[in-house]
Amino acid sequence: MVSGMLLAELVILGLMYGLLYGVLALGLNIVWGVMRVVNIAHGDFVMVGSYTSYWAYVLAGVNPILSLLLTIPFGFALGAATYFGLIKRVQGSEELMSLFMTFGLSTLIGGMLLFLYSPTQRAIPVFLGNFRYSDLSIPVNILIASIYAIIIAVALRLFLRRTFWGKAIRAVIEDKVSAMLVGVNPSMVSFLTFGIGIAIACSVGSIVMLLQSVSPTSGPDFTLISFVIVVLGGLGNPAGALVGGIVLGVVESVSSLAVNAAVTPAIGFIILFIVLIARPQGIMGSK
Amino acid sequence: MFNGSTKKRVIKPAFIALWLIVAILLVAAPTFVNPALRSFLFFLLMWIALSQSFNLFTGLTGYVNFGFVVFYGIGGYGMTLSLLRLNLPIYLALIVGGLVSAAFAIAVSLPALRLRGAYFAIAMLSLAQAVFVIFDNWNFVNSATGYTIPVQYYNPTQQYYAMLAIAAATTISVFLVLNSKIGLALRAIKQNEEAAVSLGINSTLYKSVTLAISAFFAGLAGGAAIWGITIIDPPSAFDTTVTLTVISMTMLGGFGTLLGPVIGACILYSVEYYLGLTYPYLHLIIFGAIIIATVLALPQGIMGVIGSLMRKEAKQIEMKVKQ
Repeated sequence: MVSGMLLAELVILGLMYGLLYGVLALGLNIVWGVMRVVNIAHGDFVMVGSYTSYWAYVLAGVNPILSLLLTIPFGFALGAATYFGLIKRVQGSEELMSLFMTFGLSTLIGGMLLFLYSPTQRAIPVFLGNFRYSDLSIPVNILIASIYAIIIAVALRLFLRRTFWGKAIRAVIEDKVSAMLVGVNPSMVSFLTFGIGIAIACSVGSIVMLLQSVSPTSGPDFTLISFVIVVLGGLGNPAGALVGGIVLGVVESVSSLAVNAAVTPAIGFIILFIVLIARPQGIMGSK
Repeated sequence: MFNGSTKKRVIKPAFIALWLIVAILLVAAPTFVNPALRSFLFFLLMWIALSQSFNLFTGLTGYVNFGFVVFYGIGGYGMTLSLLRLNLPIYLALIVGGLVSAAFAIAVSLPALRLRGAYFAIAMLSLAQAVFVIFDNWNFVNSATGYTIPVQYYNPTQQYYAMLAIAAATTISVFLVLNSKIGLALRAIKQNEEAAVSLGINSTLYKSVTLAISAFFAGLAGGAAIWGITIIDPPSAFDTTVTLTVISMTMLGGFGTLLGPVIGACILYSVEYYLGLTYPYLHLIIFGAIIIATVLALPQGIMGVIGSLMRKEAKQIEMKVKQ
């Protein structure tokens, strides 16, 4: 039988990974909710963040946690540039066009990373030891990642609840036309949302470097994980993204007891497929 | 596009003659081309077949199949397994591969085609990824090792003709579907699915059948490709690059048109072939840029531009005739 301690450890690890997943999906979720644009390139922006941190570490010895100071503004600027250069032009046209646009963007970013940095796996060797509590042993790297996730989630919630532009973003998610009627500038809201979404993606990319190695082709995996979570949690529902992330993290982590670890990624996709068909509005969503 | 113009009537015989010349050249090619060029043509025909089968479903229904590669891979595995395990003759094995792929498409379409728009696209994307992970760990299909096609099956000329036949059959099927009742129904579904359903069109049936035909040809092409490549393993059989290449080719040529995918495949495969030798990943950047540029500048693709140019000229001729 599985010892209770091992199970507890797996649940805690799953929870921590889940928080990071959730924050990753938050970025995708607000973009989808506000702009009705499905950003297939979301995971590739994560890779941009990862590579930025990687090179900051290799060239200047910057710790990936410190390089957040670099990736967050860089991500926001990149998101803003992408919005004005590309996304704005397909927003409001057929959904097909925005799907293809972001798919092309994903190909472009993935191709650039491959062309510039080759398909080699890259890792930053930062290991900060283990955090021990009686028999539990949690790597500090994961602990930091989950603390980061909580900070971002709380900051985003405060932004969305307390500030004017945050409220404007929520208003557009609820009802775009009414929001415009009361004077919300949808273009400004879209720009902010896309900037924040990509900044989150890039910053998660930095944090990911604490946990695993990456290659230019890892991008689509992150996109898919985010989709699983957004669909699990419900579209345009920021709290749902966190719940979806935690559910996926715990299920993946605990299922490693029953199935080969290599099959774990398939579990997420099978969950996604089932949820899409049985409950397209998500676990938290209401029709 | 469909108003019969004077210009069109002049062009038609010339067009048929051009087609005949292309067909004769392609059939005769193995007798006079060198192995390198034959291999180039083999893969060019594969991309034509794949782009056409992608076009058949996504171009006609407007449902984006981001998991397209799964049908290519399953066709390849179906062919390999029926060749190696059941000892079927190679041509029968190819057809079995196509049929397995079509059967898989029907099984998938029952739940997946209840979804629309982005949800369908994401479901297919995740399906392809799940199938990859499963094959990568499934002992029944030799997991990550995959298979090698034994050397006694190696026959470049036969492989070439098989691929030529598949590319031609796929293109002809697109032609037949475009000009049939199914094509009409699909166009109605693409423009407004609710309205089409309210007129009594069984949209789920039409979409499932079209997806199955698309998967059948993708599976055939996958089987023939593996016959030529001689190696199959999960990372190459379910490589997302196949999906994105096919999307860029169809997109550049023009969705839902007969010749678009052929033109797109010819241009982009040539680009990939020549750049791939010196700069291995540059073609991905170009494909991405082409998808983006096409969405921004010519959403109807090259065929759309040609179509609107022809309409313009036809109008001018009509004006002159009237004067």
